Amino acid sequence: MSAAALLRIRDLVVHFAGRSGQVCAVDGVDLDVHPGETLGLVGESGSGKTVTVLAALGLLPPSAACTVRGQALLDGRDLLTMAPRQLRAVRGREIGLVFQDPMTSLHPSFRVVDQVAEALLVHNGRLTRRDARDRAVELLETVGVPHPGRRVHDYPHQWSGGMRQRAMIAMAMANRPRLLVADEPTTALDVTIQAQILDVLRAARDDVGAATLFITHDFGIVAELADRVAVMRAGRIVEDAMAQQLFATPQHPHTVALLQAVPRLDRPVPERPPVAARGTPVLAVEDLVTHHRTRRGAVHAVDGVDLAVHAGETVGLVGESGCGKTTLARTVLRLVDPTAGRILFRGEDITTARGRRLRTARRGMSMVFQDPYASLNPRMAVGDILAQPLRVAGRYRSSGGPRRIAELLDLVGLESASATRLPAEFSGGQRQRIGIARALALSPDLLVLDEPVSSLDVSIQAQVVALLDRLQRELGVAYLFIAHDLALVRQLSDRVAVMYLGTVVETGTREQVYERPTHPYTQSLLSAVPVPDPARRRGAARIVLRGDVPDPSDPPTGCRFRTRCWKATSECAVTDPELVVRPGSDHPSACLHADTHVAVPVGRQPDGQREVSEPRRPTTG
Amino acid sequence: MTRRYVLRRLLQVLPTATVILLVGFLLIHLAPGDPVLALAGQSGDAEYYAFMREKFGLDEPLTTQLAIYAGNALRGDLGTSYVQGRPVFDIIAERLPATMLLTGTALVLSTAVGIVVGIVAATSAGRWPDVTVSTTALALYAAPVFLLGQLAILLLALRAGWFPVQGMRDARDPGTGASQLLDVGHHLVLPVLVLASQEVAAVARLCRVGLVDELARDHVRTARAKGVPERVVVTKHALRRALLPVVTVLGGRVGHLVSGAVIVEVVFGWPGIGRLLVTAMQTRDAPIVLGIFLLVAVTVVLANLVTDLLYAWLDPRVRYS
Amino acid sequence: MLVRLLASPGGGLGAALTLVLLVVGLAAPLLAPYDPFAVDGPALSRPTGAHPLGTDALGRDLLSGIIWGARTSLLVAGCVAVLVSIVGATVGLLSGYAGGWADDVLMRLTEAFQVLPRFFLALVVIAFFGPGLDRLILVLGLTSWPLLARVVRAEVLALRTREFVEAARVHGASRTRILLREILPNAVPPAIALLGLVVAQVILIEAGLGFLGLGDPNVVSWGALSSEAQQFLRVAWWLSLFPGVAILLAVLGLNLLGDALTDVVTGRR
Repeated sequence: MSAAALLRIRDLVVHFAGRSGQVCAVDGVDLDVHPGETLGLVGESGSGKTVTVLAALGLLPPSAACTVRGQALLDGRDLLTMAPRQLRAVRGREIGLVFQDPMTSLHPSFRVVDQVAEALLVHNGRLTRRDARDRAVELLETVGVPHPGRRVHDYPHQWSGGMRQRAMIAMAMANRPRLLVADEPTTALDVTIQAQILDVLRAARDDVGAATLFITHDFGIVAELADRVAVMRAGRIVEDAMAQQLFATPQHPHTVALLQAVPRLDRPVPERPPVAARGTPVLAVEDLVTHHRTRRGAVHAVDGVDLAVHAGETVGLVGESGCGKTTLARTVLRLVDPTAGRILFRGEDITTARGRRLRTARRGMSMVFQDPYASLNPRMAVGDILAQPLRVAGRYRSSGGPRRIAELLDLVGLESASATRLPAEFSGGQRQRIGIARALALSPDLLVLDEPVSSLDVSIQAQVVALLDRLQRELGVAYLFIAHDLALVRQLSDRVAVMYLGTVVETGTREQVYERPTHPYTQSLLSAVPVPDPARRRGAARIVLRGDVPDPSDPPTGCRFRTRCWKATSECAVTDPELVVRPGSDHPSACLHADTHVAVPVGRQPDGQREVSEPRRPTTG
Repeated sequence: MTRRYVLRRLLQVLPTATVILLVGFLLIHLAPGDPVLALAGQSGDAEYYAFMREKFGLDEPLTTQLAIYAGNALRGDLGTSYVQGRPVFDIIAERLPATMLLTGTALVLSTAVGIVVGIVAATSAGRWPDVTVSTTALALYAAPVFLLGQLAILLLALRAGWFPVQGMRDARDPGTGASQLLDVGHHLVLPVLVLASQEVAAVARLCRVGLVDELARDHVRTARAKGVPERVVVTKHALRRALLPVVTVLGGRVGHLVSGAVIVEVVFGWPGIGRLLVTAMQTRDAPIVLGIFLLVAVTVVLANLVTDLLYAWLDPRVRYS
Repeated sequence: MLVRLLASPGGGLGAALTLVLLVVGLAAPLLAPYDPFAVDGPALSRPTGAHPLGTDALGRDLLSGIIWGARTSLLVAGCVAVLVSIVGATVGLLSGYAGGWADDVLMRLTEAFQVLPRFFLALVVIAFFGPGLDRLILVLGLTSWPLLARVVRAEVLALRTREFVEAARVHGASRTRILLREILPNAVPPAIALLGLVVAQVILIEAGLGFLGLGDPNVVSWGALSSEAQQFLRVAWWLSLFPGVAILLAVLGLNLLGDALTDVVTGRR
């Protein structure tokens, strides 16, 4: 690393004039990226990591309200004081950028191929449009878009998230830049698609030999890709070290705190008190089916699910977007009417309950929502929000009125003065606590939590999860915990169910599913999660699935997973495997070839799958 | 765009047209006095009224009357003005070209200038060109048309003498051919300026807001990150979608322009349907007033239709769904 | 929120101008130096000490005329605002919350009303029923609500699927309760901001009608004052300028206030 830095940011300061005065988003940042090196810039939301990089490249929206000071030297030339024409020549040619959300980052009114071609045309005056288009198709092929030649007329909304992000990468790498900047490129994607995209990024980077500046909040990704890591907090860099060193011996207390708060698959989890899974389950779902009608036909959001939650236990429900877990949650609470099947709450069939029966049942179950900003009425004081379920059930006075509100606030660790304030005065984590308090107002037996901490920063996540744990022990509430973060689910759950395209593909105790997964989807999910340990990076071969999730309105015949499965045989297209205990396993799995061994075939797969030559057991312990 | 969408949109015109006809019909029958006055004017004689009563079936049950009225209206028969002794349709048709000249020119001018001004304001957002433009636009938008007209006459016609004060042609020497065109053009300048200035303000405001929003979007940031020159970013990447709000209000603007035209015609003595309307109000010539109302209402409906179709054509997401 | 509103330059000015309009209009009898109909002063006199804004052809004081004109505009604006709010909010709420065929029907109705050219409709009504403030208010009130209804409906549609509304459903709240306590308080504020802009347009229309001589002859109207000026343009510029500027300031104030309110309300989100 004695080579001079390619990008040197010195003393960068960025101020925004907000409604309530000046906000200092970046407070004196120094950063170096050396040629051929990958620097991971990590931090929580609001830490200033994105603003730093965008400001250095002159890409903040032009506005009189924003001031940038300092230096950003690319090979000695200061980007902040460069003439606009020179800056334009640098961007797209020497620096390639990949942004977070491919849906909004691509122009909706232009064809994808044309947008990629534009990246070439802007910097090569002599290239003809036809040549640029051909070259664009080649680039798309390199990043793994299937049959790009046939998709020359497509618009971005016709492509999936993963394909769009591949197009963004193709655009960024088109002119073989010396520096690749990626701002949270996989945050908007599902974990199996994320694995695909990380591979594509890695391949593109290695092919061109570019230095990389990778911005993310995910330590796992950083551990996989970065040589060096810089941690940001409140506009400052608090620690900057080689990756191995940072993960092994973090110095700054903030880094330490973050690393401890991250749920990890490779560390042991605390023991959970044993649950008596006997007697009538609090919630039992039998062969539940929920379809919605859309223009293209019926979408099988939930297509035959069996599930049971017993008193005081936590059942974790995992799956990626589109698997139906949210629809399942809403059906159980009767926010949506099921198409078929039964829902039994405390032994009573509430599938078609109405009026008083439904209301009575509803008092025993409740929900915590994902978005802390949208789940509380912005014009209602917190006290009224908490009182609402009590009032609706006619129990406000009988439960003690304001005293009960104070009790609830205390239960979630908020002071009683909060009752007169509006939600806008609280942070995301605090609002989520209010949401939890509201859900507990009527002392329910079952709490359905739909991605309750996904919108929160890692350190706040840990606090809220600890709160949920404590409440469960104190009150004996059963939880149906829905999330896409596997490591997180592992922390809280007693039993786990994995969903794919509307059905449960594997279920069992936490230990069974995480230690000895038998369904190929579960195995690939687990292997796709990036682990915050750089030492594992070299050795671990990861399963990268082929292609995208099929269209839920037209699921594959037989086993739904077969279109992406490396074990699929012709039998899989004919029979839909049942969720039963298979030979060689101790818990139910819906796969004809259920096996704890993973034998990924040798050789290169056409869609960017890696070459792996050894059968391996995925281990998490 | 899908033929289904076009058909659906065309069908939507029907209920609106029905409402308009209904309103006209109701007004005739709800107004104090004999409905025949609304169709034949104040100063007819008994014979004439009897004739009109027959023609519009005023002794028949209401539903039949409505049908007859609608039928007549669709055929272009809007009654006859006794005051002028001619069919309403002819009278209106005579005056229409002058108003169309005025309104059409104002529409085109205000759209073009408004967009340019909006672009200037948006690309220099927060700095002095934007502040000047936005404040001027705000003031113009809030000013009543007659104030602008009277000020224009005071300053540019009376004081400076650059433009004629009234009328469409020089009453003393109309001229022929090219010189006539020039003459009309000369008279056209002030009225069009006044009428257009209000609309310029509205268009510029819309364009600015739309463009500022678009320029802050992610896909514009991507274009900049690719190294696309700023000029191209604005015109190719941002402007298209930013202009969509401008397109959508086209229908409403036509209505606004025609209303403004009435006042401008009075202020400048321009011989169009606006002046006709005011004169008709003064002479209690109800069929003309009603006829103009129907004409304008139908025009606005058609303008809205064109706008919707144009919007669908411009936005590929609507097109391909 | 009020503080933020006043802090922005547009908002502050808008609020100030609107306040002036309110005060002048309400306190007209106290503020006007003369009876606006009194034919006292010298005809067509320039602005002087005795008549700070000049007099018209009949010797009526222009300043008093403008002060009383404020009252007329305020009256029309106020009544139309009330009418528009009630009709627009009701239609928007029902249409957005009920959905289905009710929504379709109400939306068709809204579109039909939106297309009617207000100015011409007012003209026609006056032609058939004679001039009068009550008719004007009725016509303008019944044709200016569509925009408000659309905005309210859009808000309701967005709110209907928001999590806090679902939370209320989970707890078993009835549809009425949800509509009134969860949706209404959140759907209405953006519409209020719009009201300022709608009312500004109404004042312009009323002035236009007055200019054409079609206003209510029993009250003083800014538009009517300007129409007098038309004949005397060469000799009495003040007759044209001052009423016009008064309208400009009133409409400007309302527009600025409406814009600032919209920024504050949507900025919060």
